Amino acid sequence: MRRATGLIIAGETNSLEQGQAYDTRKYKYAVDTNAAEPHFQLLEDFSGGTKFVMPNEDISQEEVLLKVRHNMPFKPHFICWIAQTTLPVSMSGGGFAKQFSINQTFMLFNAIGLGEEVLYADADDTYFYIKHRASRFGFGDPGNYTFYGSDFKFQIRFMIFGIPSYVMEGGVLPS
Amino acid sequence: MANGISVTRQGVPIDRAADYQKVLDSRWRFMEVDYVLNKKVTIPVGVVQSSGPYNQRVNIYRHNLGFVPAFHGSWKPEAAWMSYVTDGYHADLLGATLWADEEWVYFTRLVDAFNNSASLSIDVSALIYNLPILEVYQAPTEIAVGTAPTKSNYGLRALDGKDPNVKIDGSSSHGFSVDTKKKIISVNRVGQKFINDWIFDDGRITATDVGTDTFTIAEEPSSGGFASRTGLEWIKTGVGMQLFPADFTTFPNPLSMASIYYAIRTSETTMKLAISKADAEAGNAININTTGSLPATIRRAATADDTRLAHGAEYPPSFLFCEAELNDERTIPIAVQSLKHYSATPLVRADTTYLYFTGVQAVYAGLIAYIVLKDPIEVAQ
Repeated sequence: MRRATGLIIAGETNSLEQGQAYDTRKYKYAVDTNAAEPHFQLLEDFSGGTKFVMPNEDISQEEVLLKVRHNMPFKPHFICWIAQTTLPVSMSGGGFAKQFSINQTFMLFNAIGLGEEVLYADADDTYFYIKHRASRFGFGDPGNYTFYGSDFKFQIRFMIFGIPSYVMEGGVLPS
Repeated sequence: MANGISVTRQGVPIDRAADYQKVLDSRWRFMEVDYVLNKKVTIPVGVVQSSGPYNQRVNIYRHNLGFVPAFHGSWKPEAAWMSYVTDGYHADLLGATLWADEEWVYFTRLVDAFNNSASLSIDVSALIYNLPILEVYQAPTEIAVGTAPTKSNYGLRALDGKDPNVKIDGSSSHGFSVDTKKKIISVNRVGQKFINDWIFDDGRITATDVGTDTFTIAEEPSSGGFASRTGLEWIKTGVGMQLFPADFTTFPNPLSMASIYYAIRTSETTMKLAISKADAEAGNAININTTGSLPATIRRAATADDTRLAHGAEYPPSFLFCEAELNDERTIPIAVQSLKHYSATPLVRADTTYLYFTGVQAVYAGLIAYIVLKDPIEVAQ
């Protein structure tokens, strides 16, 4: 049986059980910079993907734009900072600042007659993903709509941590 | 006397290592998970109250940390069609949110004024961090610019003990809480910031004395879900504000819609206005000729500091943030939501001095608690 050993750095406390500033028995935000497929990367000019053409029905299409095999025995915790660096011509007339959102960015939002389009990060027990999804809802103009896709470019900086995720699919608690 | 331990990534000399190239420093806080929460929770029936809608609270986990911890959390009802966190609509889960306060991680949902909310079971999962997010913390920035590592066979590793299959001499991507072969994230700053606080600083002008250029001021009555902050303490000499007459047209002459005016507070219930902050501080009031349409509304003018916070990192840093809640008196923060997993608003811009917060399709206003990491967001180092 593995013994419990390690390093504890005390905080302002007289207890070794509580109030510690650092404890090697606890998960840290640790990123493997030597992984076979990068767990830590900065992607520039990342394309927003396919310009999906969809009729106005309650449907979605999704594609995987990046897939990283993380080689860990769980779905990992990750953080992905995403900034839009190129916008469609119709949007970028006045110039814009590089602004970040966490783990997702909307390319089309709050336009229920047209749909919704999003780039987002996700993971499962095998891979970390960057995905692109477009959805229509069946409201408004019945004709086809062409989503933005590659009209957007992004700066994406992601870290895949050696910590199991707190976001689970399928309603199954990790054992 | 400075004693402690500091360890850099492999091949980076200690005297030239950037802060973000350290894997351990006893002076700093690191993003450390105190507890991994996985629990199935039964939410009892939310019974309609005669007093109106309310937030039903269910305590989930007593964390015993003695402070309000940062956490990443998600929840999911048993119905398989809903994915985690907030996807999809559920009639019995209006406004459902995970929170942490000084004692508990807990769940709330809105019970409306008309129908009981059904009992249901939810799965809750969270990473609770050993990091007080409603305190103020600033680590010193020692070296901001990184040093390229050289080849080295020296290092330090410690297993976290969670996975018995991970060996100390292995190349696993997980299972190490200290590892000089990995990048380990420490915390540069923790704080709280009320973004666009000016929205809640308002009042009204109930009378105008054109002989003394003096306005009589009173609190603006709260207005439903967009309640005004009580009190007129925000009206201090030198503070900028805008004025909106009752009919939105008839201003006290020579005031106008587009201009910002600066308060000269003359008593608990009166003020004058000046054309500039300097004039206000010198007591040089605008000569008011007419009363204008009353009662007029006044609202504090936004400043640059209303949407930005100084991060202290000397480079554009990566960050995390969540929304926080004030006590009933709206004076101190007492609880936080989960750190954002999927953030849609606000968007955040980073430069070498500030983080700037901007709403999407609307002005973002709210109290946030933030974590600035010792990690430059523009590079992969």
